[in-house]
Amino acid sequence: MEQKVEKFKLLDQFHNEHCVFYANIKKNLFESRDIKTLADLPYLPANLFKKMDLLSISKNHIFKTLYSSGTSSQNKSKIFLDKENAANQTKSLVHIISENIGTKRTSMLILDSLSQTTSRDSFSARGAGILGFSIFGSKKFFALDNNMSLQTNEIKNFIEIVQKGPKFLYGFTSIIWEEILEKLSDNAKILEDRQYVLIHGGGWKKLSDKNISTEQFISAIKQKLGPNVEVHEYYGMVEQTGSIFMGCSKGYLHTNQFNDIIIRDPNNLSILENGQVGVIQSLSTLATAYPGFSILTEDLGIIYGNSEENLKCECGQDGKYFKVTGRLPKSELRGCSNTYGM
Amino acid sequence: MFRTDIDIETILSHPPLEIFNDEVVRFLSNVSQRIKSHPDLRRFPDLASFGFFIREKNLKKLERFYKKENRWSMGIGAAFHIAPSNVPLNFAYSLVAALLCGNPSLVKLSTKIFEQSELLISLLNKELSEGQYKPFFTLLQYKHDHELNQKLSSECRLRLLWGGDETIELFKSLTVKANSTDITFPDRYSLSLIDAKTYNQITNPHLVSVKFYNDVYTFDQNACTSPRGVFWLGNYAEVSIAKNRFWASLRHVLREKKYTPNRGVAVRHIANTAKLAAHNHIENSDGFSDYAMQVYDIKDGNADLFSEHSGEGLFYQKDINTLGELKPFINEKCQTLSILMSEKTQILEWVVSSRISGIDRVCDIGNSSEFTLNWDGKDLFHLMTKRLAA
Repeated sequence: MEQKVEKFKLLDQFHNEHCVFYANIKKNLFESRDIKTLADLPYLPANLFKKMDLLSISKNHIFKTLYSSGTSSQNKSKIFLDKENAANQTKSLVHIISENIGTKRTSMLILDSLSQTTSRDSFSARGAGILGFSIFGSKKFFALDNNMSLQTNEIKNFIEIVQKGPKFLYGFTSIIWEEILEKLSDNAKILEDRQYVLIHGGGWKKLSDKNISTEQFISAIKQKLGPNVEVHEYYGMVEQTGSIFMGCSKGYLHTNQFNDIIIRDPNNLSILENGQVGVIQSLSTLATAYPGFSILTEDLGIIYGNSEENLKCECGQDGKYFKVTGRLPKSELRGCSNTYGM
Repeated sequence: MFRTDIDIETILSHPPLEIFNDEVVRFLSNVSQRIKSHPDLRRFPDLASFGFFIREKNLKKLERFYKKENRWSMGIGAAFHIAPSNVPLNFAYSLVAALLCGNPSLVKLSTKIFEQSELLISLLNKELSEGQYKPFFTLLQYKHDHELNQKLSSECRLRLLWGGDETIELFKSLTVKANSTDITFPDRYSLSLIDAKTYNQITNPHLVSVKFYNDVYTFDQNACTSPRGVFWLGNYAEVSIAKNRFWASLRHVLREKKYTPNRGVAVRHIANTAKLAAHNHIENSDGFSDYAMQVYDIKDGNADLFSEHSGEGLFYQKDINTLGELKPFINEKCQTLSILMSEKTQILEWVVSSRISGIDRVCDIGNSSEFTLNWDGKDLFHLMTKRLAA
């Protein structure tokens, strides 16, 4: 842990020196103190990346820009990456996933459309996810066409490939639900009963808004895709691409060497203990080009234990283990506004 | 959709009334009594205030006042009210103002549900059903209905558009009759100004805090009249003493009143303050903040600091030596300046002589949300009546 704290301490120093906005926020909103624990680190609210251009590199070093999904350009987070940061995101993702599904590259069905990845310089969170996870695909197939309709030929070709070991499926949680599962009939089993590993994440908020539970999601996967799909969830955000939190076999998300998590009281931002629901502060060692290593999200979660405190997860993996339980309701009204519908 | 038993056509075809019509006054007085005697009243100080405003004695007082200079004024015609969703009982004040001026009304309520609004609506309905009135208003509640919005907009003589700016622009894009009038209440913000010397001499600072609390927290600081900033006039020593006492005292009142903010308030606050802090406009005020009361010092900036504000107990404060230093923080959107000064005329003179385009109202701390027919800088009585002769 000390090693990690040291890493974050250096990131705090670095961004303090290279991003004037970060330095101002640190100076104006946070008590000046030595960074001894993770809790001492400043943090930026996630939505700040929608309101401002935040970067710790010069503009001519920008290699890629990631955008979150959003309905208008005003609503999208902008994450600026230089070559190094982009490369590190990929490397870390490979490392994290390999620990879960092994290092062998397999045939991969991407539960989305190729059109998400067509721009070279800018990507949505979905596009970034697809490109990131594509590293694991020796041969890639896309389940949806540009109109988000099922490409049955592609899927058939994917199923028929013969290989040792389970094949890989990847997609955004909400896209899998809305564009695939909801369109299939019960017990469709379109992938037959072969072995697959499905990794899904991102967009879970949409599902929680629709009151779809994890159990419902998994049940639909088994009935409509296939009974032998091993489902792995991950938690991540475009503001911290690459350092995702993977779900374990017992249904908990885990921290790893590239990330960490703190739970804070949503009313006064004090640190909460294990077992208490609060707002998630997500930490990533990867954010070097932009000051996104410590972010206060609007997601609610609960930490159950920490292997470093002799409270190890039943699955046997190290790190803190936690769940995301929901999100804070939308912010209240400003001024004389009738935002509840006209 | 309908919150009363009265249909739209009944109101649209209703003729205008005399000002302070007997039936209207009888109706409102009786509703006032119902409010006064309701067992749950203690929970809703804003409902109590409303009930107090429409009590017979006050209505008679207003009647005497307005009839004196306006012997031959009467209502104009049907009024369409678009109520805001930040102040629960705003719709009621809007309705009362229009009715007292003689205008039968259709009120489009916010779709947001507030307990005190629901209670008031039930009392209004009870009085309507038991009191035998020829109906002169109706309450509607619907989300998106372009056709209905268009119909009502084009058949009414008056529209009271309570904002925010986006809502007003939407309704203004609909067609209206050539002889109709819009009265708009766009996005506003308000400030407080405290003279440190005067404050330090007060024997009961607790009372000042209670008044400030009422101005701010009754509406979770979401009302246009709730101050978002506090400016301290005086020398360094006086101001330091005053600030410490004031915020400590307010914290005390918050505990007394057991005020609980909505969940997630700190997350919403930081979402608001981070950008301003990034631009070096504000910094944390040492030692003043509490979870329901976040205080920041203004380092530099202007009126824009106050335009995007999440409310719920967020304050930006600044020391000033002269009134002139207040000017950069005031623009057209600034509505109310609530003050604690030795006397008011100094400020009023300053606003006029400095030709300030903001500040439509100057009042004492504690009175900022008190409704009058002179509201948001508008003389509602004259806007909503026709004056046949002098």
